Amino acid sequence: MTAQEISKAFVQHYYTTMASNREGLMGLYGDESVLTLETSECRGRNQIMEKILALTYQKIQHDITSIDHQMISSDSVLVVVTGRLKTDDDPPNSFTQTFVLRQGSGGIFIANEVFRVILHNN
Amino acid sequence: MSKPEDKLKIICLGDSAVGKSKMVERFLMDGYKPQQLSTYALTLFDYETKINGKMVPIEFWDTAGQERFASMHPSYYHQAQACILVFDATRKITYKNLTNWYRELRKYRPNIPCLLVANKIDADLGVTQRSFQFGKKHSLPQYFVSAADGTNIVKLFRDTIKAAYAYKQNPTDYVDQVLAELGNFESGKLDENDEAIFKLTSKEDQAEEF
Repeated sequence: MTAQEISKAFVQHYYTTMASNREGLMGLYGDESVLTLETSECRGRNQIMEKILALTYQKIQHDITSIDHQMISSDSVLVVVTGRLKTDDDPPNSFTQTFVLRQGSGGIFIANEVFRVILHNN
Repeated sequence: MSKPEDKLKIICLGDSAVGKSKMVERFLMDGYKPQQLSTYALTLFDYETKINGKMVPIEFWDTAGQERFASMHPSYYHQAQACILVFDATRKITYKNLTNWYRELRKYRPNIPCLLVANKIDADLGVTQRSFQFGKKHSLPQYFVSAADGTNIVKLFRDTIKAAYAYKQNPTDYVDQVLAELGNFESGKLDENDEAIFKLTSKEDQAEEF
């Protein structure tokens, strides 16, 4: 698979799972994974899943605007996603999400992930 | 003509789905369309009212989803003159989370008047007989409202505007005095266990607490 194919397939899988069954994301993280979600940092699969499952919405939908990718090394790809998301009955908000995907012994996993809702400062 | 610096900023805080927007919409006219500022993840409601014979512009700020992922951006609190802190009388978790909202509010706005609101009393009128610990502990005037049928909504917003105006006139003094006159805050009532108040709690809470 090319880096482009990997990113596209990953993004499709990640956001579909996020919308349909958050717990299903567990398989995408490993012990070395790091997630920065707004101001909190979580390390390892357990902490990360705890954070994701504690988010208070019941429903979430993502509308992806762009997917960009770069090879970092032979086993890692950088993926940068922008788009809009909608939680429950809230108005839609813009977001950006950055991933480093790495080839591990059990397949491709998320080594690094950074998420922000895009807000203007003042 | 009112000048921009005359404007009062009133912010709403509380968990998602406690009815913050519904309360503001109920107070304003039916069919009122707020400004949706997605670049700030907030909803703005413009209003104008007469105070002491003078028209005063007012902005009500409501959260619009950013609180799902993290605490509110500091600009949300910036220069606010009053806060309406809301929980859902039928969901205990939203009452528990008041502590976090209040801590966050006081970090940025240590002295502005804060009015505590139990919404959705139409679902269980029994709650209006109770006094909630949280409000007493922090000496917050307390309101029992229903955005669905309109109970106490006008009184809540009038009192909030009055408190915001008083704070703006004199940010350091008189606020406690005004707050003491407002609402139905009664300092004399009992220490009921707040847990008992939430008769309707059940699966929903568990689902939210994870």
